[in-house]
Amino acid sequence: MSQDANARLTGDFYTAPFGPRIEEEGDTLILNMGPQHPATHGVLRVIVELDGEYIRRAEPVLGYIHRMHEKMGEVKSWVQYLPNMGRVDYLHALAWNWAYVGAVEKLMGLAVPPRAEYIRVITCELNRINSHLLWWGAYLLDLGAFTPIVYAFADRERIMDLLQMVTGSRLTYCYYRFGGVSADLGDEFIRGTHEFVADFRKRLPMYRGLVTDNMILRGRCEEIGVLSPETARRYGATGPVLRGSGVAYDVRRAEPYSVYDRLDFTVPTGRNGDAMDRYEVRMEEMNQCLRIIEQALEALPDGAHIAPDLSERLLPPKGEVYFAVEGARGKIGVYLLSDGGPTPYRVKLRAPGFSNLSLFAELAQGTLLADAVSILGSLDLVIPEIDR
Amino acid sequence: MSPGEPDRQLADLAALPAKSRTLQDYLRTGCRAVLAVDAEALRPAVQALFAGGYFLEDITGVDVAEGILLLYHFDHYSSAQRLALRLIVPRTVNAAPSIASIFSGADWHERECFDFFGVQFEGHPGLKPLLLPEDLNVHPLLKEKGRKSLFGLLPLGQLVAQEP
Repeated sequence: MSQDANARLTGDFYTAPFGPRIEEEGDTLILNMGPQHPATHGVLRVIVELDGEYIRRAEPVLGYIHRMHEKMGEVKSWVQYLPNMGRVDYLHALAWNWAYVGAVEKLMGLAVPPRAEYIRVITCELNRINSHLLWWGAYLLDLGAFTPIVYAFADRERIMDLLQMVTGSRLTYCYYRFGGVSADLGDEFIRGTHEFVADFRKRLPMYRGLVTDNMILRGRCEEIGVLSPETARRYGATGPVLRGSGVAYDVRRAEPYSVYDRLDFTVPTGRNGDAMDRYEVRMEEMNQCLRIIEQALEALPDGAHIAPDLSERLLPPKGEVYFAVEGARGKIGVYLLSDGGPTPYRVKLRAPGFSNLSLFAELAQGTLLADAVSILGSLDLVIPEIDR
Repeated sequence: MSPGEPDRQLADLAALPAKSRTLQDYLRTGCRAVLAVDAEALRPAVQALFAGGYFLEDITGVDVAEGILLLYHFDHYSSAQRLALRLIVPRTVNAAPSIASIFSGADWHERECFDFFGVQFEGHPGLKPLLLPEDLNVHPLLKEKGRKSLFGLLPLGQLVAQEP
């Protein structure tokens, strides 16, 4: 073997600590999954050390799609930073919209008209269903079932059409504004949402019949990647990953914001903390989203969709604030520190997927490589959000 | 418990090794209390929060004239209990104790802070770049201009207590 080829085989900065340790631990293989592996959903790289089919060690390598959103927050004005939010997590963009505008509103003591609160709830929950649907389709694709993602995309299409009516975009929404939302809901949207809720409610049992009770799926998910509540807490896991382990922690209930305390919904939890529980939690959450949307449509008050008389040059006062919302993947937090100037002094974005992925190395240790794919999928990762 | 209500768990905080404890208006700042700690007290304080059932939300920093202000946010799964621990890392020291052996999730948060601010975390199991390229010697969140003093940024009550 030539010297060059040898140098190439020694790997890079991140594989170096894995080094060959053949004498002490037997023959192991270092394998790179990603950054372009289809099961890593975006540009995530996982280095695994394999002993046969079993994982000795796994280490995610991040940063392939890092954009330094937090720095952008320090150089853009408060309003200019809004469109960034839709790009942090493209699957649940509206939750990120909400986390940022909510933080600024809290800092300024800005009141949001009741109609805008309900509009936010309706659109954010539609977006959550959309996110869960993509996870569902993509997860099953990872596990070898091709058909479900086609069903999921048929439903996603309807939600995207609805959201496009009011937001003007299909994926990277920038719809919420300080003090409300940018446009009011039309009759067509409300009628369409009623229809969607009724239709989707019939689709969910069909999904269960088609996929959830399938014994191959259960074989791939049950007792795989068991996460104890203690381990979840050590890593700061939130969202369905935590709830699958039986902890009923949902920001919409624990730190109620907007009008969620007036809406009736349950927080589904799992019992064993395995991949199947995380799956079931998300499936039930879609059902709960439908309940929330129905109630919000019912209660939707008349009035303004944005606070009147807002200054065009918005200048939050000096101070700091932390505001959190429940995204499809867990707790989204925004910390703002303002010096009273035209740009934030510091913006910190807490991405739920960051904490959820950090426990993967521990969860994957000792499992089969194929099961690690199942575990990775069950964490519902959106890499742009993790890399920010 | 509603978010505005004062709560029982906070009472234990008097036992935490902090230089100052400032109760905050939760509805306005989203935080129940801010505790200023020094480097020696950080790990004992975090250990106490771990024992108290808290989880780590994030670790981040702010570049100010006095150095890097590290912020540790904790919350509780049972109710809204957000607490912030604060540690000023002077530029001459540029290092803080790692809490990754207490909260495993801190591992990545500390690596991120190392990326963004260049702060070293002593006792970290593998402090290497996480989000930035390994050969990039730039810490993007260090402010080149417009760096402000803590006195201009935070309420005065917290600052008086933080003076050594």
